Parts: sequence; C-alpha cells; structure tokens
Amino acid sequence: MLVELSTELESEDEYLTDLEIKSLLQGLSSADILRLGQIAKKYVFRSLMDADEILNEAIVVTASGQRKVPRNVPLLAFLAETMKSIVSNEVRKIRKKITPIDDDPENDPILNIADKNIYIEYEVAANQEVEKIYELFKDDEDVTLLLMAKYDGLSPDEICEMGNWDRTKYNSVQKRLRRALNQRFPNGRET
Amino acid sequence: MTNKKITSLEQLDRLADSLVTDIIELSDEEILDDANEQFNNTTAEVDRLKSVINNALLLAAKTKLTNAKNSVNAYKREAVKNNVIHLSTAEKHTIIKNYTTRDPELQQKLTLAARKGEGIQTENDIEGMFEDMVELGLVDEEGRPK
Repeated sequence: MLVELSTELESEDEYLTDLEIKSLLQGLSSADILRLGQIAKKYVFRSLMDADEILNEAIVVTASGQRKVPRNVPLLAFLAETMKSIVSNEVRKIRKKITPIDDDPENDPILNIADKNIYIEYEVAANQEVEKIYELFKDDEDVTLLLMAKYDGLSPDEICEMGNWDRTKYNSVQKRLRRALNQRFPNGRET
Repeated sequence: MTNKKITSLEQLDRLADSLVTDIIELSDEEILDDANEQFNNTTAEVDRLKSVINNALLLAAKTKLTNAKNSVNAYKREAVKNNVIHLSTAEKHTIIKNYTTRDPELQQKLTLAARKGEGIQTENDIEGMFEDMVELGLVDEEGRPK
C-alpha cells in the first residue's frame, strides 16, 4: 500500500499542478505573451477557428487538467504543441468522417457531402495560401529558396548547406520571411 | 525515397512548424522588435492577449468545477443505488406514503398530480422519489426519517 502511494505521488510530481500552470500563465512576460499570440496565428490556416480561439482552447485544455504538462517541458513549447494538436484534430476528425463515403455507399450522403465540402475548403484554401506566399516573394530568390526548402521539411543546417549560406545569412533570410508574412497575413490568414 | 505527393496542407504544416520553432527560439528583444513593426501599439496588443489568457483561465476553472460536480453527483447516485438495493419497491412506496401523509400540502399536491396521471405511478417513479428523499436527507438509506 505504501509503495503504491509513493509511486502515485512520484508520478503526480512529474507534472505541473493546475495552480502552478495558472501562476506561470499569469506571470508571463510581454515577449512570451506576444510569442503565444504569434504561434496561434501560425496555425489558423488549417482551422475554422481564429487565432484567439485557438489560444483560448489550448489554455483551457491545459489549465483544466485535460492535458498534463510535464515539468521538464517549457510551458510555451507545450502550449505550441497543444495548439498544433487542436487544429490537427479538427482536420483529422473531418477526414475520418468523410473517408467511409468511398467504402460504404450506405453512409449518410448528406452528412458526408457536407463534411467533404469542408475538407475540400481546407485543401483549396491551403493551395491558394501556398500560391499567395510564393507570389509575395517572387522577387526575393533567397526567401523563395528558403520556402521551398521548408515545404520539403529540410532542417536549418540542410538549408544552409543547400544554399551555401552561413547561419547569419540564414537568420537574415528567415527574418525577412517572418516579417513579410506578419505584414501580409496579420491575422494568420487572408480572412 | 517516396513518390508520395506532398499536399498544400502538409507544406503549410511544415512551414508553420518551422516558423513556430523560430518564434520560440527568438530573443525577447527580437520578438518585441517584430511586434513594434507589426502593431501600432504593442502594449495594447499585449493587454488584448492577456485578456484572452485570463478569460481562458476562467473558463478552465469553470470546466473543472463542472467536472468535479458531475463526479460527486455520479458518486452520490451510485452510493444511493448501492445502499438502497435491499429495500423492495413496495417497502419504499410505504415509506414515501408515510412521509407524505405527515405533510398535508405535499399530500394534496401528490393527489392532484395523480388525478392528472402524473406523480408516483410506476416502479421507476417510486425508485426515483425514494432516491431523491435520500439525497435531500429526508430519510436515510433504510427509509428512517432523519
């Protein structure tokens, strides 16, 4: 019994308590608050929610204990991962719902067509967004190269090697990309 | 090497992941510089985001409270169900009748309800009423008045 209790306490100790999470969130610096706002905007392109709603949802699930925060993970990184997970689940749920339409004609066609349309909207919006981003940097070869490399999932080291860049050059191109996207998509996406 | 075509959604996912990593790794000074370039009033933007965070904390607290209440109610219902199982429906009906006859007003309401085809008509009504009386502390699990 004692052994069981001590194991339970140890495992509880691995995670932040709700009070600790609340206190950390209320004590965030201005820079960290701005970071959270910016991170939420980076995920809106694949969600029907806006940036504030994504941030709100991530904090609710974290501060209400629905997702446990390991002590060894920085809170900001955890919240970023939570936001990503929230928007990924939104698309995954729709994808899961529409999949049976090809396999089983008995499925409710009205429900599936509605869901399928939402998913198609995601895809169309994503295509348009990729085009708009390329268009934005059509006169900047370095940022275009950086974008293509990022779309292919290359790491910063691999990008530097491919472009024959040093880290200073990489940071400077990355900064141009980041700031231009912030200006062009102040809410994270067009609408 | 795979020939699978990367969709636009996947491309944007990768770009977002990379930009988020960048945002987390930037110095506070760079974050504030970016914000000053993007917003006319960075302090107002910080205050707006603080309000989003505080509202979310409030909602989280309400969610926790609702979940806790639901758990307590479920536990109580289960406890009542387990404790009263040895009393027959007829015995529970007698206990209810004994209780209601002591309260003429309640008795009158129940009579009126019965005339309309409502009130305690079925075994389920009796079980439900008895559980309510135990939950309200009017009688204990054995049906004894408190």
